[in-house]
Amino acid sequence: MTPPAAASSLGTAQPLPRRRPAAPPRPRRVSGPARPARATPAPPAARRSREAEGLVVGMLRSLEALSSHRALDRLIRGRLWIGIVAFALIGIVTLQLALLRLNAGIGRALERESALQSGNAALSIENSELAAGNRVESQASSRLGMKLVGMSGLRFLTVHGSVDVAKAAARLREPLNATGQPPAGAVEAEGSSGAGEATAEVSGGATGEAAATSTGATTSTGTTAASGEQEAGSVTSSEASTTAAQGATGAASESTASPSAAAGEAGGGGTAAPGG
Amino acid sequence: MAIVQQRVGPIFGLFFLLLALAVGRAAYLGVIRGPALRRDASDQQVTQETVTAQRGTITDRNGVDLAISEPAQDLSADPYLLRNPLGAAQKLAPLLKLSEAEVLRKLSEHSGFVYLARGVPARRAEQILALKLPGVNGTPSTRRVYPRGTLASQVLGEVGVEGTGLSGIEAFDNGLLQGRSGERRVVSDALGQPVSISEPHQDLPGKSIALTIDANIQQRAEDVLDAVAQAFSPKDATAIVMDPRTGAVLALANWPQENANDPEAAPAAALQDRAVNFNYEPGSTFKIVTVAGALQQGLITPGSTFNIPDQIQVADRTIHDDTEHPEETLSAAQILARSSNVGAITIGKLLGAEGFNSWVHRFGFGSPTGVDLPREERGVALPLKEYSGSSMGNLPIGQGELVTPIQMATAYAAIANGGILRPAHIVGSVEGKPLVLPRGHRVISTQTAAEVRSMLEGVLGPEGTAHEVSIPGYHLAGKTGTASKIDAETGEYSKSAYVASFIGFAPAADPKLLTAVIVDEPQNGSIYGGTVAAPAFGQIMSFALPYLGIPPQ
Repeated sequence: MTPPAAASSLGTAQPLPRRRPAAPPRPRRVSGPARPARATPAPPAARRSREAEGLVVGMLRSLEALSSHRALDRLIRGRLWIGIVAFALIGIVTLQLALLRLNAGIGRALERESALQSGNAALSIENSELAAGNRVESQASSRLGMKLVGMSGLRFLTVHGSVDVAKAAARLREPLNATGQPPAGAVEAEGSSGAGEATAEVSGGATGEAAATSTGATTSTGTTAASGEQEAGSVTSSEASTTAAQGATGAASESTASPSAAAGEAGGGGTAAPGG
Repeated sequence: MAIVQQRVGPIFGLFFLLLALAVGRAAYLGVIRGPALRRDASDQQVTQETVTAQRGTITDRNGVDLAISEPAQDLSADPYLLRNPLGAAQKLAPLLKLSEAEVLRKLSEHSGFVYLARGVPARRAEQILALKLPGVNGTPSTRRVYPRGTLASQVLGEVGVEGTGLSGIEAFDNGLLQGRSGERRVVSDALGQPVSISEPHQDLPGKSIALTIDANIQQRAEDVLDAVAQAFSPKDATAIVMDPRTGAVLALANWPQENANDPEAAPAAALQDRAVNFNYEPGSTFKIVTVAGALQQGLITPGSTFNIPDQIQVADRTIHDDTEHPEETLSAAQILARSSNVGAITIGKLLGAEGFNSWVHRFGFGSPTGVDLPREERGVALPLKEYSGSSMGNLPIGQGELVTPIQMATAYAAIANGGILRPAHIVGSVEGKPLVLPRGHRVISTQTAAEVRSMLEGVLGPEGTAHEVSIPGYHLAGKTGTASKIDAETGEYSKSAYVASFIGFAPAADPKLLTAVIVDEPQNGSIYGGTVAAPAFGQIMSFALPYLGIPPQ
């Protein structure tokens, strides 16, 4: 029987054999398929497509994780979700109905717009036809018995600058209120006839002046009031002068109605000396 | 339980059969008839409409509508779909305002599409479509209406069936007036109610234009020309009223008149705007160019005197005054007042051919004035190199050159406004925004212009050729013209065809209104500017001066 190694060492003191240095332990084999041989690095394009693939897969996994998340699961299985879906469905249907109604309204509005445009154009045409000078002239003549004043019947007012202004200022009254009465505090003596009085006087003055202008005296008041030209500035420098201008405007408008008759008179049809 | 089990089988079978039928029907509609049904549904439900842009309105200076567009329809028919064309024609004719025969002719054409009428007013078109005649359809359009009919018709022009301006302002400013049509897509439900409306292209309405024309003065000018035509039976006539200070045309009348709503009915000559289209030899009205040039160059003064016989020899030609008279001494002012041909030629000789020619061009003759009207003629101003020996015998008296009425009015406006030659204009504002006044340039000094104005007063004075024309309270100035026309057959000046004209302004010292009247070939015994055109000038001015509030001096 071979003595145990320990016993023999005890009996004879022999030097211990030199032990070889221990090799590093091999890693334990991990279960699973054998690791494939290390592949050669893929070309960049292939690597990119694989990265994209990985991204898609990752996203899908995230989605899957989200779908199986407990919170979502709880939400879907809860009754609140039914309410939300029902509300959304009703909302969509209501919106659609509103949209339909809106479009129908737009359609009707377009039709109405077209009809109004048509009506508007028809009225504009009628308005223009009715306002024709010849028609107005004949209507005024036949219905109202008005007649056109000849050129010789025209009168223009003479402006007497400061005199007219002073006259008009002297006749200034407080304006009448809505009832036609002077406001409280107005001077009783001037009373409600003030405005009429002033107007009458201006008209009267105008007539008198007109008579004077038959010799060729001129004015710019009445005429420029009608034309809106600059000359009117001289008589419209104050409120007072406005009154005078208004009075004159009446006369001027009377004048401006007249020349159309003169069209048939002045210089018509005569035999002139032979032209050049 | 057994009974239930026995009946489940047939019930299941029934439902299965119904389901199979439904699936079969769905497959038939969806697959076999699918494309056709889809097309039909699209036709019935989706409509592509052209939204016609509203053409801009044209008004006068006071806002009176002169041209308006109103909604209308172009009515068409598919004769193949009409079973009873005769019956349809009987129903349609009165509404279309056409004869039955004409409507029947259209409905009997061998075509799938024929226009029944275009631009039918919307209300009448609705009446026609309400008849629900098979194959009769309407397409939205617009219709141009001129409420005043003949008023300023040649100025306004006309619009074609496609909505494009063909003449007058309608053509000149078509770009502004026309706008841009849009497109609308309408989806309708089974009941025809729109369920979706979209406008892939929005329409853009045309812009409104306000003219400088005054409808009342225009009417008066047309009435006066009509009266002239009644009295003198001319070939045609033109009158221009303008503000010489700004060049704004207040009236531009033509005779014969035409109804702008029915231009087809008018003769071709009536469609012309003779104020810009008519080339004529101006005669004595042109003498102001000669006189103004000589005054400006300091060759004469209004008081310069000349010995004037009743005829003068220039090269191979002898030019006479209008009447025989002994040799007399006349001032430059008298030469103009009496319209002495010999006197004007004498003054022209002082200027010389070169000087005279430069004044002709300086006053704008031989070139369009630039007025905002289409087809403006430029006239003919003879180039200096083409002057013959006798040219200075007829050009200074307004024979041998061609001008247009608007050129003459513009030249006289320069005299009236103190020497500034400014193009006339007829469009005052666009969409309410006033246009910038055309810039003018000085052709003569203020003093020369005043001198010429003063000399022209003499024409309406006791010695003048238009002495019978006056307006109480106003000082008038102007010039008569009676020009022989070239006889097309002989190539010589006619002894019977003349152009009578008068151009004048008032008040003479500070003119605010200018009127030119040109009458082509007056008949009935009178041919002179002083007897034919000057009275018309007086009639127009006697209305317009007080109407515009222009006071007498």
